[in-house]
Amino acid sequence: MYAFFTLLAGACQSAMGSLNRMLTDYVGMFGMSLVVHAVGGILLILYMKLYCHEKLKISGMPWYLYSAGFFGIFLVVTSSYCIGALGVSVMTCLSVTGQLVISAVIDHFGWFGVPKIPFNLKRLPCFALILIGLIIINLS
Amino acid sequence: MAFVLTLAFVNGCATVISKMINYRCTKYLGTNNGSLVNYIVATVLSFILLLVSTRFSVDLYSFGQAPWWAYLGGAFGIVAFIISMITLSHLKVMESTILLLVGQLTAGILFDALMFQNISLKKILGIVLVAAGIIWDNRISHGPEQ
Repeated sequence: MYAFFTLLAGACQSAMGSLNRMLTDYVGMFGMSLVVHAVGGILLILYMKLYCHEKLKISGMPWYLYSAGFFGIFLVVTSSYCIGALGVSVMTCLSVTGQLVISAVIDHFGWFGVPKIPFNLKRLPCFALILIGLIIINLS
Repeated sequence: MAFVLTLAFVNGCATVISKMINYRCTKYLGTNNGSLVNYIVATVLSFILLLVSTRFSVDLYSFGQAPWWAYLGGAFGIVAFIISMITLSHLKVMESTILLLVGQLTAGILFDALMFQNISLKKILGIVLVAAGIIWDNRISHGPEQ
């Protein structure tokens, strides 16, 4: 059951990407970003108030952590742009590959204060397989 | 084309950094409030960027032109967020990562075929190979022997 809902969460992410792409055609990238974050924020507040009965609190963090919002905008705007050119599925492939590569680099060098985990060479064939897949996509 | 491919890759890199920042936010404020910060700052910042980019004359008519369901993107995002919060503690990291990916790609191929009509068999083959590589990598990184 949990597995099924997690699959559904993944599908929701793709639906979000497609819909954001369409909205961008009407209201531009910043209009889209405004709508997506305002709608999401309001629903999250409703969920917290009505379901979790949780107090809202957004102060009391070091200032640089508020850059989370900047990344939020960057992510929806670039996704929408790339989905327009590549489609949702190819965009997902490239984005997840980017996530794997940067995570491996961050772990290997211990950036941002994470514990150092040297790159496991057993992972190389996996990366090669991903690369072959991406080349085939690019050729099609 | 090379620009879009690079941007899509950079989007993935930014996703990881954003997740790290969000994780630290949740350490201070809890899971829900930590995510709410992202939404509130992004809403205010988007509004300012929208005003500046349109030189303070926002075309409100265009907002009315968009079909109502195009506004549901944010709602799907929140549904995905809440589901992953609830299911995360019941599944292994490896399982939930793979399930999210498979759900994303299956729905993605479906949307591409139905809405954008830019899918081909060759493309699906490539996507399956990429997914296989990611799942295989996941087994090595989070597998039982680790």
